[in-house]
Amino acid sequence: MQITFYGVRGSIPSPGPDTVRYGGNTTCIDVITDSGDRIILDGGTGIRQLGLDMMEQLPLHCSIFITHTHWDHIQGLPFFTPLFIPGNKVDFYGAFDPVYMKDLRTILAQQMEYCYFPIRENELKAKLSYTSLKEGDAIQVGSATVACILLNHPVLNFGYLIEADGKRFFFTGDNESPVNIYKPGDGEYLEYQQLIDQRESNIIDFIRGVDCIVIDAQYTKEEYFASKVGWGHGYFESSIQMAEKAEIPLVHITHHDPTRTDDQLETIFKTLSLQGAIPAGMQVQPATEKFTIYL
Amino acid sequence: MSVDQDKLERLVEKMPTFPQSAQRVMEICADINYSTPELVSVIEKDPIITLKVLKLVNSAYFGLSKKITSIKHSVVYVGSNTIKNIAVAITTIGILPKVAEAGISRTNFLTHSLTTAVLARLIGRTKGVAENELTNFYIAGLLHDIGVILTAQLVKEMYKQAIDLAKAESLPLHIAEQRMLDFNHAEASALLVEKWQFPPALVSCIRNHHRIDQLEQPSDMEHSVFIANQLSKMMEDEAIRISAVETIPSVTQDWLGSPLESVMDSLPDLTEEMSRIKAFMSL
Repeated sequence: MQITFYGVRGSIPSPGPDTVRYGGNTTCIDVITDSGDRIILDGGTGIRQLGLDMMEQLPLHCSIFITHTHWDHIQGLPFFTPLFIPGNKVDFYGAFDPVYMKDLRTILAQQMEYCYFPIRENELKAKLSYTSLKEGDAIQVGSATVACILLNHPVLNFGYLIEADGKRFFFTGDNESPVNIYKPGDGEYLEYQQLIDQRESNIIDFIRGVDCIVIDAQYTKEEYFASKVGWGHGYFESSIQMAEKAEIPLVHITHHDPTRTDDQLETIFKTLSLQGAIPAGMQVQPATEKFTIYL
Repeated sequence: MSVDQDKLERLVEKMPTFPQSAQRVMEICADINYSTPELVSVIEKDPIITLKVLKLVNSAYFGLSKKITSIKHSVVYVGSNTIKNIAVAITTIGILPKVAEAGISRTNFLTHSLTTAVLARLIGRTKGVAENELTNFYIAGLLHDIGVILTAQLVKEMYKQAIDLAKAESLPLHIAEQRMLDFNHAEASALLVEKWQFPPALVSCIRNHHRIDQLEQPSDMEHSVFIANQLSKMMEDEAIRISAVETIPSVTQDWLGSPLESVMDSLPDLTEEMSRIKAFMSL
């Protein structure tokens, strides 16, 4: 399995000299199985370049799994060139939005409405299909199986587990481990904590022992506890701990904050290492645009 | 025949109590810094909202693999922001009556109520009313005609005749009601929201929504709901409209400042909102 990052930034693209080493495009990960089946995770702005790279071999078939439909995970789709080419086939998968009662197709088509984009969804030339996923669904994509689990973000967000050729890879999309909404002295604290623990153990069981995880940690611990609790993202230590609990040897941390410079990111990783925050036997790296992981 | 005031009051007594929780849910949801424990406790104290939130969270719309058994469980599972947003939709729709008599179409009634609510809030906002006060504009718009349903339940056949009269002579419904029943729905709506202990300003706004020209100094809410109500009627297909559009009195026109046409032009498309609401209604 070959996993390449095309977008590693969270929230909004942040191009410029300060982000050139790790990359400024928003979330997009390209996964190719040993048999050549292609699964794309999220359509942030990184998918534009991926689309261009894919154009060498036409017609093409790929499956795009959307973790959730916040801008930074779908914004590149109107610029994904393969959608415009007759003969191509693109299958979309993602959650239904139960708050606004919209399916994936409606949401994606709406970002291509005429006021936002000159070409409408029904004018795209590739053959498109849309599937609303339910938690626990496992989709067969050629030689791979893609299974989904709900994680915690302020909209339904699926983490995707891809299994192929004896290897397993997990991407969280955006995720914040739930925090107890009560204080330790409150009567409801323990009951709530049990629910959190139960949920966490379900997630850990789901991802236990995968070969590699790409995990959201947008914030430092200080930033998180100062003002970002409830924003739907993890911090470095929380994400590393989650990977440790699930006994995952290879961790790529993604969704870099748009204000984070390359130098800051490197300092953070050096400090984590110096502080002993990285468990023995675990390899932890910041996700880097155009970097490929081979499993 | 006229509406028997005692009977009406007894009917109001029989109406379900408006959960204080519904208003609190709306207030919490208008506040970006809401407290999750408070949201949880408000929902938990209301068995109907709790039931509907759980029904929705466990429905195919969410497609979860685990059965969610409590509000706390739902917050841990899908997040407080999502629960907050579905609770407000459920609450809003839950206030409106489930059945309608006298040939009133429930869908048309809901559409009119919700459109008026959305527009009242929108108009208030363009006039610079603070966001936290706009919740009451919305509720006033939502409930201004709830007395129509109430009165129709009380005097079914006569009410149908009042509607027929309004349609035949292109009268505003309250004029037809006054002629046939010596009573109008604004009063019935007001009695109900009074029982529900809504703020006095909201109660008078509803009570006065057909006599704004008789008020000495209408409030921002009264102006907004009056205009919203007329716009909402204008947007209805003539065939289904049961109440004629009223003239905007000069005091309200002066308050609005800009011509009504310019408000009309800036109205959002509510079709999508309506289809969303219908999905929630089916819970």
